[in-house]
Amino acid sequence: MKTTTLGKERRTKLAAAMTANSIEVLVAYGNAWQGDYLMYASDFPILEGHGMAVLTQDGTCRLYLDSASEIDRATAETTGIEVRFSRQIGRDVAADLKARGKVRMAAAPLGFVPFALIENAPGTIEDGTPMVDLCLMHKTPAEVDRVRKAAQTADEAYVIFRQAAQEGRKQFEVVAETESWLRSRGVADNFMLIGSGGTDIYSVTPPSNRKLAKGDNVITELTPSIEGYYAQICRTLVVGKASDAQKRAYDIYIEALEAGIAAVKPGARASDVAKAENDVFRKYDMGEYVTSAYTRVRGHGLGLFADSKPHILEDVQIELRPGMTFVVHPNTYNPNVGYMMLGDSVTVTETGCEVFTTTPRVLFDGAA
Amino acid sequence: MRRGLIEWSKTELPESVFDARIAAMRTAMAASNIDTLVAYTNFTRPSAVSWLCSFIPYWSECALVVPKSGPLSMVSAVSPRGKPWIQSTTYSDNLLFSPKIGPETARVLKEALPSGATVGVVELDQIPAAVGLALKTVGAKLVDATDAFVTARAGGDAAGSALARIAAGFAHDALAAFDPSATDATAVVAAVDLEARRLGAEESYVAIAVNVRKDRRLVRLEGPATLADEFAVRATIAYKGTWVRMVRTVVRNDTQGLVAKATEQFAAAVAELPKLEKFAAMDSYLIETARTAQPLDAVAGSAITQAQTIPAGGLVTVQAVTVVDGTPILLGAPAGVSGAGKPGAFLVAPTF
Repeated sequence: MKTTTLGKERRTKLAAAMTANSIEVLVAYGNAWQGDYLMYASDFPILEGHGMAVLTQDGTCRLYLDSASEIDRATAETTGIEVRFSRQIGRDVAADLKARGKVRMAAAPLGFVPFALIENAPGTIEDGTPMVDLCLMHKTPAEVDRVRKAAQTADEAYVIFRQAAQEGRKQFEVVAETESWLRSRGVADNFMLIGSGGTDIYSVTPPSNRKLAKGDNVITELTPSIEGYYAQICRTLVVGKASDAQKRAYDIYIEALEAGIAAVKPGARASDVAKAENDVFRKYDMGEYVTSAYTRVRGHGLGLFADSKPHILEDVQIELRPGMTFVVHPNTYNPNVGYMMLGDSVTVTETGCEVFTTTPRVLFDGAA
Repeated sequence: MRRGLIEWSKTELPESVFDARIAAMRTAMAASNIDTLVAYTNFTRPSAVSWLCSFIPYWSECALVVPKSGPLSMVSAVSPRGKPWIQSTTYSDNLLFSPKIGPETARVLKEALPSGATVGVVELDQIPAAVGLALKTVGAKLVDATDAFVTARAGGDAAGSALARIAAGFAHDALAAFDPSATDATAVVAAVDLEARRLGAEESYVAIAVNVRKDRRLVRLEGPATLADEFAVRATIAYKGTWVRMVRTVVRNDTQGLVAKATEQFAAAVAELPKLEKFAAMDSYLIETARTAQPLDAVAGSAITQAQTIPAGGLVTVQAVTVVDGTPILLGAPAGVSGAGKPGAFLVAPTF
């Protein structure tokens, strides 16, 4: 990782937030599933085991890791922090906090820290999640630029994905080619799910042995990272020639995406974006298919985590502000043709919205 | 997240394998006076649950409940839409869904357990606080079941060994797939990653030391980098829940056979496992094995102060650095530990 400057900027911002909230010591937890809090505090993109960064208001950071193989990587990929191997990480961080005397402590995300930390802590550990979430959501121009670059990579990677998604190929072979291409571009990580088939497919999953067959919808969300920042593209392609039913169905998703993006502006709420997307489906008597029975979210934040806040849902009232980055994706099941995906990465600007991904919003097929 | 092929092959892992493992677990539970076992899983700590029922979450988190007898239950934070996928990869029919697995698992336990029962949690210290705090509300005696789990798993089984050999083969083939004369580090990493995933790896982490003379630490590559004449690549490969590492060092113009000499030293040290004298004589070493929920858990090493027991006849992954004629050579391979009269040996030799 070459994030020294950016990492320092993040740690300074976080330390300022701690000062503003009178938090003297922050424990930022992370693992490879949810590594953004840890990355924000320590600059370390954890892969194995779990880790906790103990950060103080002066920006001093001590990183505890419970995977021995991660120690070398952490010392090589970070600067200005102390790295410690700890088999009993919860107890060791609790002892660290105890040694600091009577201080006001917080942890983020509190629910994920090892149980032993809570059980052995020298006092109450407050929930620092909302404080760190604000730092994560409200990005600096340098952070937004990394998401923009990741979106460009997502566009390029989708071209590779389309080329790989040929009849007879197995899903995991298609993903292997895409992943390898990303590695060839120096992209360290990618969040990626796939599905193929028709009305039997209700969601995306890791790749299976299933072969792509003529007429299949091939759906994916492809989410490469640049210096730890993720951007996502969602698209659907059809193996062979798309049917009229598939094309008609996809037109609804295109209209919904455009409506969602049109709702992105400073001062709007996450719920406004979700409602704009969902209203399009309701207009076509598909309101049932924008419920949790068929779809999870209508978009989500992007940054140091591929699925961060704000979640774009009709009951999420988070205000959109310049510097926030997220994907708008009206992905859901269509009873006539199966699950379809379409989504673009965006940022909120001072005047509205910048769309990062540029791949055409079309239903790709064998003729495309 | 997991981006490779996740599937439950009933040929490689028939239901009888899980029946035997669950029986071993129940024996260990009984010996520890544990009425019900809870094992937590997310994709960074999947090994306890995958050993018991094959399931590996590609995302999110789950808890597996193993009662003294009767069917296992899985509480999943994955959307219920993921049920067909979970069913296709899991030896457990009783699937429950909740975005908050702690309270739901606690509910399951409360319904099933008599008062005064003991709930054992694998790696109790390590589970998320939200889950641990929810389990405390059950009213049962909450104990750490890590030792019981390690005991149940310690003997290994033929199915697990077979998967490790396949994973070792994948790692070897992946490291053999790059061009050793390459100067572009991304091309090397991409070739390794492609081969591993194309073969069917569940996950592939490739780390690289682009110039071992300057820095022998293996890092995840971000952006372009130029390879020196001596570089090393590590492939960490998962296959159906079994993880191995293999390391290959390239020395261009290796007229003195430095890599071969180092590999001989490495093989000699492996042959003597669990004895560590020959590894201790090297610059550094690390021995990992699958014991609990972490796929590869450090058991001994030059930087490990509290070594764990290396199981005789068990499987480990070994990494070492030895300096031959002034050149650091990084080596790594999965190996069987000596036992029952057989010397330790590589599962697949790290020769290229």
